[in-house]
Order: sequence, then C-alpha cells, then structure tokens
Amino acid sequence: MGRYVLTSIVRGLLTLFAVSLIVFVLARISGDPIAVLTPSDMSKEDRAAVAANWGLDKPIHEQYVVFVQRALQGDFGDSFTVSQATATEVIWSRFPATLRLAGAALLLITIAGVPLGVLAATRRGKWADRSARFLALIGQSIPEFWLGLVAIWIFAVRLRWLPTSGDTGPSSYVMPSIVVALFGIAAILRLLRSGMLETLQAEYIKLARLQGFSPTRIRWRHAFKPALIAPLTFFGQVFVHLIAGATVTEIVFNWPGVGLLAFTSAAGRDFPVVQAIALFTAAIIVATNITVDLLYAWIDPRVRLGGKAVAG
Amino acid sequence: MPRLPWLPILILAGLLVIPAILAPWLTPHDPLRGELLERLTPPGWVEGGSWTYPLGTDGQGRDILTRIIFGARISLSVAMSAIGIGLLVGGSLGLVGGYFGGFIDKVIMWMIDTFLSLPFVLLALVVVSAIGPSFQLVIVLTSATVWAYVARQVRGETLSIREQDFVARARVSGLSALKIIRRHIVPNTVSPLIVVATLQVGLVILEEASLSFIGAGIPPPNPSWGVMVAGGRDLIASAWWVSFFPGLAILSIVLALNSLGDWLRDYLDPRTRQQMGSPLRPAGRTPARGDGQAGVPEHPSDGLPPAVLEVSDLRTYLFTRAGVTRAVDGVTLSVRESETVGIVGESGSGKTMLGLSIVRLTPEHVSRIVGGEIRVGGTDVSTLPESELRGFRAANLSMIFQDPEQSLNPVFTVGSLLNEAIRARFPDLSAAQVQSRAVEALRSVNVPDPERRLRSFPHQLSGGMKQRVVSAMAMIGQPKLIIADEPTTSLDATIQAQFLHLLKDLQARTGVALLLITHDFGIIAELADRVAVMYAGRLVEQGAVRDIFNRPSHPYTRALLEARPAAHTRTDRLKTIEGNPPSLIDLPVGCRFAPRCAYATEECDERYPPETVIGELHRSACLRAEEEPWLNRS
Repeated sequence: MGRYVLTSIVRGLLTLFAVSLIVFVLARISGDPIAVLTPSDMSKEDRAAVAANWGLDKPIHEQYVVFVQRALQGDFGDSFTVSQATATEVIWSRFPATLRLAGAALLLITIAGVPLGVLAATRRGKWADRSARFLALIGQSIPEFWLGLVAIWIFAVRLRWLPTSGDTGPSSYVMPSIVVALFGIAAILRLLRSGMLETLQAEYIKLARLQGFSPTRIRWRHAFKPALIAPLTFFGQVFVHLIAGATVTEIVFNWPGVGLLAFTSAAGRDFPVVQAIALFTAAIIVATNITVDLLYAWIDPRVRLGGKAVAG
Repeated sequence: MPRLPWLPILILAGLLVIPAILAPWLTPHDPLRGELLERLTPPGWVEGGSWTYPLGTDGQGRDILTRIIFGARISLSVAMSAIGIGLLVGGSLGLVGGYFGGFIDKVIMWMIDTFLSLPFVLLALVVVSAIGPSFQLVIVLTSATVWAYVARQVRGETLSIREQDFVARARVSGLSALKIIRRHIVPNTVSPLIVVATLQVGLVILEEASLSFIGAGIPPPNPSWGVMVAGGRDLIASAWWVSFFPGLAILSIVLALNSLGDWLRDYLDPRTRQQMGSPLRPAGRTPARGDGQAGVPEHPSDGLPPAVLEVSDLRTYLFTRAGVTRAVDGVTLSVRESETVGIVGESGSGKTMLGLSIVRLTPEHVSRIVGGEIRVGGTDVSTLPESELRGFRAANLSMIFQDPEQSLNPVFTVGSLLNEAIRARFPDLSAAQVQSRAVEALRSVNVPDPERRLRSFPHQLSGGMKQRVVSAMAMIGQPKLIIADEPTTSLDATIQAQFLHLLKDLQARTGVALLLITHDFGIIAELADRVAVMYAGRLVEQGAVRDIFNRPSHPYTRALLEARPAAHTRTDRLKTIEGNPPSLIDLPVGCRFAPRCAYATEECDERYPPETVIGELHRSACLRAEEEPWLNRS
C-alpha cells in the first residue's frame, strides 16, 4: 500500500515536471524570451530588471532552476493586463467562480450519470437503455461552445428564461453547468454501463441470485461496487475534460472564472498569467489523480492489500 | 451480417469527404472574400433572405455554406494528419512497450497516462500567448492525445498476443523480434485500431473546432468551423445562423463518426457478434414433443430415495444474430436424494446451458426455455414466476462454477459474503450467532484457521481455498441439489482430488443430490453413481457408471472413453475424436453424431434414433445399439 501511494505521488510529480518544462521551453522557444515575459510598452530599464530577475543572462538549465524555485513560491511574474497585480493574485481572484461551476457540474455528473449508467445496464436493450445510450452519444459528440451558444439563443434571447451570461445568481448556473457536465455524464454513463454489464455476467452475481438476494441488493451491492473500478480509472481523464470543457464554457457564458481569464490573457498576450494558469491546473489535475488512485485502492482490495494467496 | 449504418456513412460522405475534395467546384462563392453590402443576409427560407446564400452570410458578407464546404477541407486535413502521426508514434511505442515489457513499458505507460491528463486547451493558450496560433500547432496539439490512445490500445493487444502459443513457437524457432512483430502482432492489432482511429477522427475534429473557437487553433480568416462559430458568437441575438450552421456541421459529423465507431466495435468484436439481433425475439413456449432420446425411465416406487430433480424434455434455445442455437434440445434426466449424476460431453455440447437452465440463470437477453419441465421436489421451476423463483432457489438449489476467481466478489471479504448469505436465510440470528455460523461453515469445508480467513479478501486465497469457500456458501441454505459445473477443472491435480473428496463428504453428511457437469470420465468414475453423455444438445446415452464403463452402447461414448488419458493427468479438452461437433444452429435431421461416426448407416442420417433399452437404467440413442457393430471390430 505504501509503495502504491508513493508510485502515485512520484508519477504526479513527474507530470508536473513535464508541464513545467513545456511552459518553460515555450517562453524561450520563440527566440526572444524577454519579449514574451514583458509587455511591449515596458521601458528598457524595467525590461533589464525583469531579465535579471528571471536570470535570463544565465545558462538555460540555471534559468529553469530559477523558474521552478519561483513557481514553487507561487511567483510567476506580474500580470501585463491587470495593473499592480501578480499573476497568482489575478488567478486567486477568479478561482472561486471556477470552483463553483465545477462543483455544480460534478454534482450533475454524479446525480445524472451514475443512476443512468446503472439503469442502462440493468434494462439492457430496453427503451431506457436506448435513450441513455443516445444521450451518451450526443454528449460525446456535441461541441460545448456551440451547445452553449444555441442554449443562450433559445433560453436567454428567445424565451428570456435565463440570463445570457455571467455569474449573477442561481439561475445563471443552469446553462453553464449543464453544458460543462454533459460530456462527463456521457462518459460516466458509458463506462458504468459497460462495467455493470461485465460484472452482471460474472459467476458471483449468479451465485448471489441463487442466494435469494433481492434484485436491488444485487444491483447496488454486488454488481455496482466492482463495476465502479473501471470508471474510476478513467475518472482522471473525465476530470481533465471537465476542465477543458469548463474553459470553453466559461468563454461562451462570460463566466468570471479561470478559463475566461486564460482566454482573455492569451488574447492580450499576458504570458505570466497564462503560464501560471496552466501550471495551477496541472497541479489540480495531479492532485485529483492521486485522490483517484487512493479511492481506487479503497474500492479494490486487490490494490490495497496486494498480498500473497494462501495455499491450500 | 448486421445492417450497415447507412445514415452515418451518408453524413460523412456528404458533409465531410465529398466537400473536402470537391470544394472549389461545388460553390460559386469565395470562402475568404465577401460582399460587404450583403453582410448578415439570413438563410434563404427566412424573411429577408436570399437563395443566392442558402444558409445566409456572415458579418463580412461571406457565404456561410461556401465556408462550411471549405471548412471540411481543414477539418479533414487536420484529422488525417493528427491520426497519421498518432498511429505512427502511438503504434510503434505501443508495440515496443507491449512486446518488450519491463522498464521501457513502464515509461511508455507513464507517458500515456501523463499525456491523457494534460490540460491541452490551456497549454494551447500558453503557446498562443507566446508564439501565436498556427496550423502546425493544431496538428501537434491534437495528435498529442491521439498517439496516447493508440499506444494504449496497441500495447494491450500486443501484450495478449505475445502470450499466445504461436508467438512463443516463433520466438523459439529463432525469428527476430522485428519479424515476429511484423508478421504476427501487427496484423492482429488492425481491427481494434480501425475502431480507435474512427473514434479519434471525431475527437480530433471536435478538438480542432474547440481550439479554433478560443483563438488557439486555425488562425482566421481560414474557414475552420470553430472559427466560424466564434465569428457568430456576438451576433447570436441578431444573426443566429452565423454560428448555428457550422456548429451543426461539427455535431453531425462527430455524431456520425462516433456511431460508426460503435458499430465497428460491435462488428469487429467476436464476443458481441453472437448477441441477439432484435428480429429474433423468442416466441412463446412451444409444446414439447417427446421424440426418441435417451431419457430416464420413470422411477417406480422401488424403495429408492425420492427424486430431487426431474427434468423432462427440456429445451433451452439461444437467439443469436447468426440464428437459433439449440443448446439444450430435449433433455430428460433425474437425480435422487444422495445421488450423484454426471453429465459428460465435449465443450459446446450444451452441458453448461443445461446446468444453468435448471437454476434458471441462462443469459437473460439471448436465451429462453422454450419447452419441457424442470421439477425440483415436485415444483416446476421452468414456469415459476420471478418473485417466487427467488425464494425457491435460495431454499433448494445451489451451484459451484468452474472458475473460483469469478465466483467470489472481489470487493468483499469472505466473512461479509458468508454473513450476508446467513442473514438472508436466518434473519433472526444475532451478530455473534451469524459469526459463529460463518466459522462453522468454513470449518465444515475444511478451511484451516477459519476465524482469520473470514477477514480475507478472495484474492488472498488460493484457487482451491476459494472453491471451498464457494462450497461453504453453497451449503448455507441446506440445498436439496447442487449443480457443480466443472468444479475442479481450474484446480491443480492434487487439489482436485481433495476437493472431490470434500464434495463426497458433504453429500454423505447432508444427503444433497449432486449434478456434476464435466468432460472428465476420471471424475465421473470417482464420484458419480450414474452418468449421462451429452452431445449436441441431447443425451445420447445414460446409465449406471459401471455399465457405461463396461459396456458403452453409443459410439460417441466409446470414442470419449477411448480419448480419455490413461493416467490421472489433467486435460482441458478431449481432442482425439475426429471431426467437430455440429453447429447447434444448423443441426442434421438424423443422428447428430452420424457425420463423425465410423458405424453410421444411411438410416442414421434419415431420422433421429429412438432410445434403446440396454439394461436396467441403461439407455442409448443409437440405431445400432443392439447390434453393437463395434464389438466385432479388430
């Protein structure tokens, strides 16, 4: 178990290392790092100061060490577009909005995706299964940005039921959270359905039925728990898509979160903020994946206990 | 063959492939330059619209249909480039990792996991703010996930093929790794890769559109669909058509690709091919016909223990896409209290389906008992409604399966499984009583140190130990009949003997009737009182074990006995009988063994042989059973 947790953490750190390297190289690949790291209207003296600050006169590997040291302290430089603020401060101010949206979406994924997946598997081939699978197909095929725009057009512009954009109270969560959650619902539904179909075929389910347990008990205790293992391994990827989808959705709905910030900062060539967002997000993803690994161990005792078989 | 998915194919051809190739010839308009005077013209059918611009014009007066047509070029070329790179890189890495394993494989696996958990949308924004958007960037970013999916798939396939005999033989014969990979492994990865590639094309088109929409993809004014949707974003209130139609194009194409991918997955996967096609819904039960076959004679009141199980003319059919499989096709059989009856046959003879039919656990969606009766202690199980079936089974029937790995739920401890089974039957017991019953149950099947084993998870037990736990669970309800389907096949030879001894012992203690399904006459000799030989869904001979061994009266039984290994070595299959069992879908009218039988006459092909009485309890369904031509041979 200890070894398992350690592997998970080491892998996470390696991922962070990879992302930091990508970001670091990108700032320097364009030829003139100082042009990337400073706004174009900066004075010559200030530019020299930034260059010295980031050790741009030193060899490239030392520059990377400086970069990592500062990143660990949350220092990614000052924002070009927001005056008097560091990149980190700008991100923190936007973070709560993103978290609220992600929370709403995760809630939707759980309360819609999980029951639908179980329902589809247990009613295999029936009407409920067909509808659930059709929903999953749509959810995986629809471009989030377009769905968001069409939803705005219908429900905000035409029908005037919901606000078009921004974070302006409970009703403003309806459209963005559904748009963000749709892909996750589709993915969880599909994975859980196929996981359940597999476990429902297992001999231990046949034996449980022979024991006379109720169908509900068999479905939720004997089939559901082992069926959770497969979706969990993919949960990291679903989560990554949630973040990517959230970025696009925040842009469409003008949601004042980190995704919209990344978009406006990229458009304004505010490199310090964009690189900080990428690294922050990578750190969140890594933390999520480690959590998933731990959850995985909790659900599947084969991972948790390892252990040799007892002879006999 | 299942029906081709015509709609997705038509959508892909009409909206993606044909426009991408023929774009300049399909439309009179220029995709990049528009008529400013005609800007924001609505679609042709809307008031104020013009059929010159069927889907309207955008904010710069460009024809939207034209731009959608040219957009297909961009989508298709990005998708093809990304898939090409992904297949090349991912394919090679997957092959290397899967074939060589070890450290290289670990590194590749880590890279796959890492790439699939990178926030590419945000990284794209990082790149754009550093060096600006470009066509190449889109290809790099989209192929970055494609290769990982491809590599994961190829690695998995390679790993499983590498373990197979023909690869091992090739390696022993000195074939180089490169040749083995090229000749044996690559061809086997093709069909799963077709599925992955199809689904990935959809994903790449979606990713390219998303990137273009947020300004990190194809640089405007190129007519990428994502760019077009973005261009209409601020016009959504006044000119909905600018965003609507390009998005609809993306949706239709990705939808078509995903459903095509799903179809291909089902079509190319040998496992799902067998599943039911909807037109073949089983009709109601057909009246049973008792034509000749080796059934057990009625038990007169002869002083023997009463019959626990009486199966008569049971028919269980599977309704598959390929046709109706008559897995159990008129079986009559009985088992008495304290008696062990063996069912012997090759794999595919229907013996497992027979066992599952008796407990009504045949695969729900494809199979159905179409005729006959299954009486357990006088009650006909085959017509029992589901609500009564549950309690009835729990009180009377149990089963032991071949694979102990599959028989215990991996996520529960042995104790919690046993406790649950005990509580279900004796709800009034206190926690301590349940606990002591569980210990007792394990002790009765000779599990050492039962208190400790209760806290074990199944994976911590050996196969033999697991099978003991399964038997302990089977005995909790004090069943009248246990069906054991190849219970020792996956156990080691020494453990096999122990387990058979345990079954005997349990029977002696409780008087439970045992229906033992096996391919191994050695096990029959050791355990069974009577034996029935099953071939192509029917029982061809049955009788007391001694009689069958001494005087087999069906050529198939003879062949099985001759194919038996001399010593008690373990075999998986009886391979030495010439030819294969008939397909259960297309069965001959006459004797089903005749095509493989050395003694077959013309008459054997004409009608199914009626049952011949050989001796007390001994019956054979062979036309020449009385003549016994096999005795004169040699």
